[in-house]
Amino acid sequence: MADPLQQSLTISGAGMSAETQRLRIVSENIANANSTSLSSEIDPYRRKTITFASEIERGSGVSMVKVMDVNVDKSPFVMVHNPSHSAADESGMVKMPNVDILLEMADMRETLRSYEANMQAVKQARNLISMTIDMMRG
Amino acid sequence: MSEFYLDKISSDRASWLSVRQSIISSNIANSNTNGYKALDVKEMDSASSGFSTMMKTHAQHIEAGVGNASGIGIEEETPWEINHSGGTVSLPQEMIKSGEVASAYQLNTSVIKSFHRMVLSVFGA
Repeated sequence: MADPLQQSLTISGAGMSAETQRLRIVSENIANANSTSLSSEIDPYRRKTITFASEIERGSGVSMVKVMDVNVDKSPFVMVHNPSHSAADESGMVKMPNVDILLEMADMRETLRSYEANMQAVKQARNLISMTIDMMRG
Repeated sequence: MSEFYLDKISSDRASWLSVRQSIISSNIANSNTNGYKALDVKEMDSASSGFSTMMKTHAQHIEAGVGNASGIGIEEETPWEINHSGGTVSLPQEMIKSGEVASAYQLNTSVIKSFHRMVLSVFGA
């Protein structure tokens, strides 16, 4: 039987690592917000999405979190009129990635808050552990 | 009942609180998981120190939920909010619960400390 306080450190760690993955996807999306293709036949960068799933660890029975899937956003591309672009079609329209910076920023904020919450849980668990150890000091 | 029964109560209390903390961590880690239902431990019942839990009739039965090895009952908590992807974790709610756990744990360790001092004073230490 593992110590639940140690387990909560592990769980929060898993939570933080999942949030880090999410932040990575957000950065990829922002970095590629203007990544067009070279010709009109090829699609530009598609926005990536990430899904989490809760996962029960068989040995200890704790429910951790893991990244279930990294998928693409199937929403239509943004069409911009720019006839001089190499990826422009006959009517001069260029397909731009379906990345909405505002949405990515909101996602980033949410990631940050969740990360902070996990960190708080780690601090709390560590506090409880040190309180237990402090009992020996009398 | 031994004269050191308080130790048993405190120890039960400490394990109940640490299981609760571990469930809070689990809820927070899963705060962005689709359809995750937030959990909480069942109330600690002082009258019956054995916590209610499902009977294990076979060694290979797995137990649902977190930290159940100590036999502490776990249930879905009453959610403050349900987000659009079906998850019921509310970070403020978890933070408040976490604060409750911290103060209860502090109280518990202080009680043990002072009880321990009492025991030591009997021996004139």
